[in-house]
Order: sequence, then C-alpha cells, then structure tokens
Amino acid sequence: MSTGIDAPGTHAGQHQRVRRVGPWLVAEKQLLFSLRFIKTALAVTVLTPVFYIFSLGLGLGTVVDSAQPDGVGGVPYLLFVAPAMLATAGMMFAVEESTYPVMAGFRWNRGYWAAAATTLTPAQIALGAALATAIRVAVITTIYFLIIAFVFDAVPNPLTGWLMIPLAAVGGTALGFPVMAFTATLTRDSGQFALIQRVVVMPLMLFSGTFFPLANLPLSVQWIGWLSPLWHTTELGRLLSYHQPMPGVMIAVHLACIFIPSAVGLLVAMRLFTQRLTS
Amino acid sequence: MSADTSPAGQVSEPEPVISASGLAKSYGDFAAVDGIDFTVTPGESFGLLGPNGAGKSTTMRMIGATLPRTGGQLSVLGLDPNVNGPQIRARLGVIPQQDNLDEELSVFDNLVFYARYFGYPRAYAKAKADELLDFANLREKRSARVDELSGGMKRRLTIARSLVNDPSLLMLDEPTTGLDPQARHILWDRLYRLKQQGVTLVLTTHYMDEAEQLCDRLIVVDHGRVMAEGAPSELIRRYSTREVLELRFGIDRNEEQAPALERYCERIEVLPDRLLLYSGDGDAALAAIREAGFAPLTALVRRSSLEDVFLRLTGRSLIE
Repeated sequence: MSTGIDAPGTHAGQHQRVRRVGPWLVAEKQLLFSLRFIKTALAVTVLTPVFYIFSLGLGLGTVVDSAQPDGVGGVPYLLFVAPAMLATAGMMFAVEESTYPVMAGFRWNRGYWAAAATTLTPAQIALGAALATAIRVAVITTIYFLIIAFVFDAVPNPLTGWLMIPLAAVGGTALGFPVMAFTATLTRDSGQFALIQRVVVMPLMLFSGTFFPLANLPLSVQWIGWLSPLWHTTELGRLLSYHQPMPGVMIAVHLACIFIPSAVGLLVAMRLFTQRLTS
Repeated sequence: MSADTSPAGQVSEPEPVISASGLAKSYGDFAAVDGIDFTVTPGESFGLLGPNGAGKSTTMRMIGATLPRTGGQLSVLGLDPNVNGPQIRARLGVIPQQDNLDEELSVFDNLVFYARYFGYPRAYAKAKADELLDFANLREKRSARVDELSGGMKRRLTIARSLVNDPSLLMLDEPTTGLDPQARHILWDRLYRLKQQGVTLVLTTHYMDEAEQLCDRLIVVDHGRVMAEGAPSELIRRYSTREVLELRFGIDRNEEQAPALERYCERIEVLPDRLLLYSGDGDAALAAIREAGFAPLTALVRRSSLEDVFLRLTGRSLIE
C-alpha cells in the first residue's frame, strides 16, 4: 500500500536487519507480552522461595542441624539447600516456559505460523523463543538470588555467589530447551505436559542432591542425579555460594553437563521448528 | 509473449511477479500439486479457483516461500522461494486461510509487533499501525483485544497486518470464507482499493462470485492440476452458454426427465436436486418446454457463472 508515511528503508535493507536481529524481534514480543502478567508473576516468584526457604531451610533445617552438628556437607542446612532451591526454580520455570507457550505458538494462537510468513526464518523463531525463555528464567533466578542472599543471608560468598544467577538460568535451559524441542513435535497436549512434570521434573528434583547429598542415595538411583542437569547446577551453585570443595576436573564436567544438553536441545529445537513450519 | 518490437522501444512485456512451470508438491506418493503452470503480471488480480483439497493452499504456501516445492520451477518477484525465502517474504503480504492474530494482544499491538518482525523501527511501526487502522476501518477498536472483535473485523485486521511492509504482492487464501455477506462486501471494497494502488493480488476461493468480482484472470484447479485458464467472462464464454435454465421436478423425478429435455438445450447437467439446461436463451427454452407439456415445480433463468464452468470441467460442484 502506498502511504502517507515513508518507509525507513528498502525491503532489502529491512531484510538485512532482520537477518542480524531476527531472534531479538521474536524475543522482544514475548517479553513485552509477559510484562502484562508481571504482578502475578512477581508475586509467585517472590513468594515461592520465601515459602520454601522458611519450610525447608529454617523449619527442616532446625531438625537436621540439631541431629548433625557438623552440618550437611560442612555447612548449616539452610546454606546447603539454598543453591539447590535456586537451581530448582530455574529448572521448573524453564520447563514451564517450554511447554504451554510453545504449544500456543504452533497450535493455539498460531503465532509461529504468522511469524514464519514474515522475513524471519523458522530457526530464528526458535532461537527467539529460546532467548525469551532464557531471559525470563534469568529474571526469576535474579529475584531468587536476592531473596536467599539478602533476606535469608544464605549465601556466605556473594562475590562469587551472584554467578548462580546466570548458572541457574543456563542450568534451567539444559532441561528447558530439550523440552522445547519435544513440544515442537506435539500436535496436541494429551497429558504429555503433566507427564513431564510428574515423571521428569519431580524425580529430578527429588534425586538430584537437592535436599541431601547425592551420595546418601543408593547407587541404584544415584545415576539419576548424575544425568540430571539440576544436580550439576546445584553442585556448582554450592561451589559458588559457600566454596564447597571441588576438584577442577569436576567443575569442567559439571559445566559440560549443563551446557551440552542446553546447546543440543536448542539446535534440535531449531531444526524441528524449521521442519514443522515448512511442512 | 509480445516482443519488444515497437520503434520507440518502450513497450515490453513486464517481468512477471510470479511464474510457475510444472510446479509440484508431493507428500510421499500423494501429489498435492501435480505440475501446474501460470504467470502473474504486475498489478494483476489472479485467482485460483477450486474445491477444498484441490491444492490451492499448498500452491499459495509455495509462492509465499513457507513451503518448499518438490518439483518444477517457481519464481516469485524474480527470486527462487526455495533459496531466497526471507528476501521474498520481506516483500509479500500474506492473509492465511485461518486467522493467526494474537488474540490476547490489542488490535494496535498486533500491527506493531508484526511490523517489528519485518525489521522496522518501533516509531515507524507505530505510525504505520495507526495508518493501517484507518485503512481497515478499525480506528475505534485500536485498544480492543482481538478476541473481542467480530469475524469480519478480524479478517480486516489480518489484511491490515499483511500490509505493514508495503508488499508489492498480496496473497489471500480464502479471504472471505465464513463471513456474512455484508462483511464480505466491505472486505472486497478494501481489496479493490489495493488493486487500484497497483498491488498485485493472488487469491484462492471456492466462491465463484468472489472470483468474478475480484479476479482479472484465474486458473481453475482440481486434484492439483490446472483445468482451465482465462478471464472469468472468457471462461464462461468458452465453457458455458450465455444462460442457464434451472428446473426442479422433485427429487426423484429430475433424472428421468433429463433425456426428454436434451433437445431444448445445448447441454444438460443432472444435479441431485435440479436440472441445469445450458442455452443461449433460457426464456425461450423454458417457453418451449412448457409448450411441450412439461410441468417443472420451479423454473429459474440465470446467467452462466464460473460455477457452471467448474461443473463442466470437473463434473462436480465447487461447494460440496
């Protein structure tokens, strides 16, 4: 349509711009959209850690600490459990963001299809959705960190401890991005999302050295923890928060067990988005 | 092709906006589009007419560079959609068959965010959105959520949204399906305006009146193939008579009457509920038939339409 206002450039120029910043344009919309729910989202994000830390860190912690005067892993229970709570929050939120909103894009409001008709490529759409998820998870882990560090005083070394914010965000995507790839294959939700919550997220939370050291578990279930990005995130979090002793090679292993599933999940999601939006 | 032969040298065939030859899309053994050829020239309104499942939407998505072809050649705006998808999409406007507006966002935000997807700066996107609200006659609905709009308004918003990038080619997949007659006429009016501004329109429809209203030229598609091509009036002239006499004798009796009526017309089609008698002069045929003692329950003389063309070409109705 020829119009009263002049376009700020040629179609070719706009195309070049989208090639550079396409994923940000997708993420921008999703993030601005989430601002509409900011009040309830913030309430949930702030209250959940407060409840958990009160109940587990302080309530259960009193019992644990009186039974084990040396503490758990050498520290009071509250310090032990706080990094795990932060990592768990990142994981839960990342998984949630990778299910229903992704399903909506393909199926309910069909927003991904609308975007696929523009200059954006399906891979950019996947990348943008992932970016928006990662940013939102980072917001959650930031708030969580501020609460455990400054309300509960449960981070003895805040100078390294704050690195738990990006760590838990990436740790969350290590499960979130593979779930996003899985969601991209679904044509309807016939209970798969509830299943993910119950048979993946819950067991990971229970068997990832979250509430007690992983070594306390019998070997027959310990492997769940070794595979779990949540355990690797939590262990690194303990390193950052109270300098839990850890050999350098384990740091590398933990980092690999977080970054590799996140990256592979993202690449597979990009591929599946492309397949689905061009078929 | 008219060659560039004039002495002044100024008249040459314009570069086609779309040219397809042997265009095909198959899924395994199933050929959704089975080798079709056509060209669309700048400023033209081009239609794909056919029943559901004929391959129209598949063809539209291939042109729109969101579905790779599996055979043949296709050029859109001089580019290959299988290779230059983003460059092509940057210059296209697409109205999909199923609205995919963001129901939870406001009318205005739907336009702004879509403009952003094309890489426009925020200030421009907002100015453009306001201008398109006027075009779509949705000014009062600016801050309303999309799920509060009527079907016709949503469709107008989808059209407005497809214009955020000033496309030179607009693809409309069944633009008015499911709308009431008044909403359809409003929509047609907006499309005329775009056409007048020189936008090339490609649309699919299974409504013959819509095709007659909007298309300069069309192809009739069935089972993924082109059955005929031409201007609506030309197709009617070529494949039908000027008038059609519709007779009803009652459900069970239509077919048995047909053989005796053949001599009063050029061709006869037996439909479950009525007979269609193709004739240059429907009134004269009806008079002769009544004279001969036939007593149809109802009789109607009308002009031939694309529906008749389609029936002739495929033996089936467009809307089944």
